[in-house]
Amino acid sequence: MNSPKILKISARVPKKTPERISQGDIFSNIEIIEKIEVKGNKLIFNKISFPYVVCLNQECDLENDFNETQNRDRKLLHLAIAPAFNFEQYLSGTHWGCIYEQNQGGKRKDTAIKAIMDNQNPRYHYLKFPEKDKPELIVDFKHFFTINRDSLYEQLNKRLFSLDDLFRENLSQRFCNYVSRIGLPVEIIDECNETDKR
Amino acid sequence: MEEDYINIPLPVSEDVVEDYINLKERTPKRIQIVYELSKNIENIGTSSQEDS
Repeated sequence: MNSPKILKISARVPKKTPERISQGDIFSNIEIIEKIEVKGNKLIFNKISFPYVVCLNQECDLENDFNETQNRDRKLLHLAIAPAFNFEQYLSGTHWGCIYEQNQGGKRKDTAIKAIMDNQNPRYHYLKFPEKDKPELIVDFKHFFTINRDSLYEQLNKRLFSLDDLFRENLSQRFCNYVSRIGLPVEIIDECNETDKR
Repeated sequence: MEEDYINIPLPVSEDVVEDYINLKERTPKRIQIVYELSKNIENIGTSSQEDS
């Protein structure tokens, strides 16, 4: 008798997606304004369009925001989101397009890439859905940003899917760990002096 | 105060700086939109809710 095949996943979509924005919602083609310039009689808007972004706010905050009927401060001004990339493009190092220079990339068998796929690298969150029609994504916590709350609600039709419980909590916890990390200084050792001491 | 409000026309150009996007290979891209106004607006004052 054959043993059941086990598929390792790091993401699953919920059976029901609420009407409001939820933690772990994944949107496509979201634009943010980088800067607005005024030059003479010209008004110049510089924007960046992200192919995928994921909402990082706490679920209770999003629920309170949505249920707030008056203009009290339970309503959110901005939502925290992080860019996500097609994992194949991440591997090729071209995932930032022309925004940044090409990265080194890697192969799935590389130790560093395996660590990312096991969600052992604090900076990244790898999302692998069991469904083949869902993209294999990698979230980069380093480049999280905010978007106006009303602006994202106006683009709710760009929501692709959401993350189920546990998976979105895992995302949230790993994001919190990443932003609260403490970077310790490195010690510079003068090798010449070290040799003298010996 | 009327001077502070300008009707913004439709953009005169939409320049997709990185015109490289399709369904399979999607990356972030920069977009620049230029609105050309009927007059110079560099030195026009601002207004806030408190002003009104």
